[in-house]
Amino acid sequence: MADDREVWSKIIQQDEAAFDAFYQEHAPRLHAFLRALVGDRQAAEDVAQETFLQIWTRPNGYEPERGALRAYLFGIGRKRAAEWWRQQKTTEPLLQERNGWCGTEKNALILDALHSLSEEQRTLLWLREIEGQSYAELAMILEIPVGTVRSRLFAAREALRRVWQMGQSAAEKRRV
Amino acid sequence: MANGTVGSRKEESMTCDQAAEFVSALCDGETIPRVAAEHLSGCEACRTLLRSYSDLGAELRFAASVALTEEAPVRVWRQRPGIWRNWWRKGWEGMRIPRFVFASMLVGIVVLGSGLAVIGVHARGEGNVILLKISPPGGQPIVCPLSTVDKKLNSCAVVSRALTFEVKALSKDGDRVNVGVRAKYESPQIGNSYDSLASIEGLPEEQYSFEPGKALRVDVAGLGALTITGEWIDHIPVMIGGGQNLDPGPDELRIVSPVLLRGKEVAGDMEGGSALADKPGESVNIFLPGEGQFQFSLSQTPGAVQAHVQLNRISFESNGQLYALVTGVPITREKQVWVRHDANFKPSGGAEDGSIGVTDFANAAPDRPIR
Repeated sequence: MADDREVWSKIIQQDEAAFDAFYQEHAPRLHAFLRALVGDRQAAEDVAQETFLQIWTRPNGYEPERGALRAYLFGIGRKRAAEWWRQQKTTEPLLQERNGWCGTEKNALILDALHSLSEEQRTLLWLREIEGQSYAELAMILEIPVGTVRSRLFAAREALRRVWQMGQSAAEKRRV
Repeated sequence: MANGTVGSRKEESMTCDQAAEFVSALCDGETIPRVAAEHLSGCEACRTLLRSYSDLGAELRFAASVALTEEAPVRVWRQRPGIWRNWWRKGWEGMRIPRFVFASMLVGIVVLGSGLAVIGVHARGEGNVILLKISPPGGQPIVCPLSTVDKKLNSCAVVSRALTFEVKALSKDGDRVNVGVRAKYESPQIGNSYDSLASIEGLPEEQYSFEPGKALRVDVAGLGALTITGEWIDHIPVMIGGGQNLDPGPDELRIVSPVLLRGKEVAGDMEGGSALADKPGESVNIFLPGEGQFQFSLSQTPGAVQAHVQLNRISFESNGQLYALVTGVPITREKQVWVRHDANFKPSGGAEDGSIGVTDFANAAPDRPIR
């Protein structure tokens, strides 16, 4: 946490090198997270850029005692992604890029399953399973009570499990 | 899911549905109530569920790991306004072109943008356009391109509160050009008209034979002499506003809103900064925090390396790194310039902001900072 305070202090002071290091460290993971949320590689890159730019140009709102700087970053990223979705809904057809991920068929299936969940469930599962965010950090990012995190994570896991099982069954039938 | 009940005592027993949320919490390493733990220990269905959740988590992490191998695109993080306003100020102080010209030049650069169509200019061309540089006493020069063939493009006028003049190309006479000049000077005072050529319409046109390469002096009553110099070119050049020619003059090294690239990365963006070196022995100096000072000149200076010029780009190598200085307008007519890079340069007074300016390196102390 002390490191986060130091990094934050440098960001506020517009230390370009410190911010670039922060960017280099977190951008790939944030980009992957956002890609899971918006479903499009380029859009995720744009949203990630907006997220970092917001922190760089308007560094405020981070409270070190509430959680890690990374959680704060992902929280802003999530809000930016939500804004992106709102814009898509009013201006363009929704973008989906489910086949854009590299990897095996199994990878594609699990990501497809993830994409079928609600935005909040995707966020929860990604941040918990892949980013390893704590319940307290998830509460901060999603702006919900910690106790609610547990119940919603369960709901998200259960939803994913059901979709995954249906997908597996369908794949089995195709093979037969 | 099965809906069994496990528990030694009825009040502490838990169904699978009730325990399911704690199964999920257990995946996350959270502490769960004893009664939930007891249920899990004796319920195969819940243990299966726990494995399912764990497996799904593993699948997600594996799938995501593919995306996580991608590198972040290179970004440049500029400081918030403050230092960049400072760049503007530094450029403002360092430039030699008239300030109103500079202001309009910036607008011009924005308009021209990526579509800069630069035409080659020959120092001693056989063109039909005479490019005049008219310098009032103590004032900044005004550039006028005059066609000797196109009557619509054969005159140039300047109107101000004090000085009004019009120069017209009348005819070409070998290497010379016959020009007609009307000029009037009034002491600047409130009430002077400065918005039309009406004040000189009744004046007789004085005719001169002008030879490029030589200075022509035109006396204006009450002011002194206008000094006119010029050269033949083969086109009407693109002007950037305010009479500033897009094409650089014969001995000009002009750096406008430069961006310095180190390899493929932006090492510094001096948007709004500008400097013009147009006299022998002058150089344009750029100081960038973290990069040091770069001294650009048309003539060789001690310790300088040769740099290649392509219109609005200067490419060079220093300390094993490839650099390119890219500007908004063409830099010089020369094919090469000289660059001296002092990576350890520190501005006097410990100031850490970047700066751009012009110095007379022939007479200045070697490391005198230009601010």
